[in-house]
Amino acid sequence: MRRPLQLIGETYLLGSAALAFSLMAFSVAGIRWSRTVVIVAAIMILIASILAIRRQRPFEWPSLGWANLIDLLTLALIAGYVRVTTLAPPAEADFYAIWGAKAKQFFMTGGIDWRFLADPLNFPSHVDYPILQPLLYDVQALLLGRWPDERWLGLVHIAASGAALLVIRGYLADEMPKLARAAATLILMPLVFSPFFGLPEGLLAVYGTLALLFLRRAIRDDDAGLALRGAVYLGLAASCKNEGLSLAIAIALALLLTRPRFVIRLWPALAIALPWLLLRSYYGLRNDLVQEGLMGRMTAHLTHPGPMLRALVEVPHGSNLFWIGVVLACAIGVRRLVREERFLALAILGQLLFFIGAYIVTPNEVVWHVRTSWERLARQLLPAVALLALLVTVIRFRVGDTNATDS
Amino acid sequence: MKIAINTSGAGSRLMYARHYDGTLNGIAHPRPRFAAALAVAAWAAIGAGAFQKLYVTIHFKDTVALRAFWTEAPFRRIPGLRQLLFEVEARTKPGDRVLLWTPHRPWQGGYGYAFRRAQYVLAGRDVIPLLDRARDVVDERNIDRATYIACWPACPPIPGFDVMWRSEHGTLLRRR
Repeated sequence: MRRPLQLIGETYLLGSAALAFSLMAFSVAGIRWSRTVVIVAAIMILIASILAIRRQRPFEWPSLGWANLIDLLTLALIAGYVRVTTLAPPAEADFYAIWGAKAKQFFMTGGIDWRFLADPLNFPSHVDYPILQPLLYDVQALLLGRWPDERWLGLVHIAASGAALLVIRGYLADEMPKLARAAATLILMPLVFSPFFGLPEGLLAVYGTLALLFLRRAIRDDDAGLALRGAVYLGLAASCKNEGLSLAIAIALALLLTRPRFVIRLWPALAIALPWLLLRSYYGLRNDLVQEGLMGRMTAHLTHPGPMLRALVEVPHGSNLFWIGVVLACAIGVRRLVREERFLALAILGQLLFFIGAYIVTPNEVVWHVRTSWERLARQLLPAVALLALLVTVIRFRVGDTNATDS
Repeated sequence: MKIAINTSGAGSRLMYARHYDGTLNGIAHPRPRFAAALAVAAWAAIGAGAFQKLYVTIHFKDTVALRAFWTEAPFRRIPGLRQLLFEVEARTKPGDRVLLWTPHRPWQGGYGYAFRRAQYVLAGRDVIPLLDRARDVVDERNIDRATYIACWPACPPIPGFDVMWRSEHGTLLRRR
């Protein structure tokens, strides 16, 4: 049985990404972007989605209950988020220097502007970073027919986060009772809807969390179909930011330690990320972390780690209460954490180590780098951390014995 | 109907969910009440810690003032720069070569702040820097490449250019 709300969420997430990637394909093929081109691509993706949906099992429509009163609170918070993000343009400097700049430049030039990306003047704009988010902004602008008022770019973030919350809600229907999943949805809302509007942290958190969840269940149920879905979301995470690429490696390593034969099933992630990796190599778009002097920087930061570690401790990590709750939950569910959630825990840990590794090789002043990025990076993992904590403390239903409808 | 649950224990895999009463107290454990209370406390702490007050209070704030503050925030270190850049965007067209003139030095933490924002607002135009980023010095040869010069807060006399527009936020020069 399929859950319609989850289906809506997944259709949006996958369909919008497909539309963004079609822009990349048009650019490579030398086809100038236009509203007509995007509409034709959107119709083709819509038809493919309808055909795929029609071939699947019937819907399992949600039934409402008292637990859904909690959903009203979740909806109220989402309404607040929508108000906040659409009130004004993004305030983040990196939106203007990196993500928004690329998107608007591509839109104005009618395709990916390789000249702009390859210009050494623009090297600090992280020209090597994957471009899924700028392409999603461009889809919105092309459909609108002009570059939108920046505050409406928030729609990309609102839609992706909302869709992800629907998917997670559907996922939890097989994990916990209705009241618990309504409470979990309320808890997860502020984590899934990123406050860093204008930056790809939100999209990365969305795709990365879904990748982790589907791969977790694929391992548990030995389900190749779920592994495929997880790997697709992982590929999308890897198309958001370089941290998405490191997440793919962290997940592959976690699989090697827990279920090695599943590693090969990550091939869709590689297939999705590969075109950009090839293009950036072809156009010589370099990464700042691996520029000349890598070994020297590594040695210097490892022999004198004090400033970096102090900065890591001093930078806000979110609310202390949140981390107390996570530690308490993991302590309660420690047996389950070790026996059943090893993959999820190892993947999160591996990604955290990659974050710290980036600071060890950074060409920037390390304390400045930590202070200006650690909170953002940590937020990419918070939905997964929270889900891990919730999952280890809750009963798991035997699906066959329950009518696990979601609503 | 009783609902069978699968506990995390390695021993008894099945038990009847007499603990599950449709609430969070249904969280399973060999010592259900104590464990469930702890789990509820953990969930409450995670939820309270993750909660963003702004998503509630936004409905009661002065959104006009907040919008003005947030809109100006990314440009706050150079007051008036945002207005200047949007005026220049309105008066030039894609493909034009626009040099950005500001007195800020060096590039890092100075001129670069204005230049990156200009690149965004004036996307599609060829935004030319006044400074050579690699050497961190003014490169006057760049002036020769420009058809427009956008100056914050005002332009020095530059031969070959006329004032096209001027306000308290800056000046736009056009090549004669």
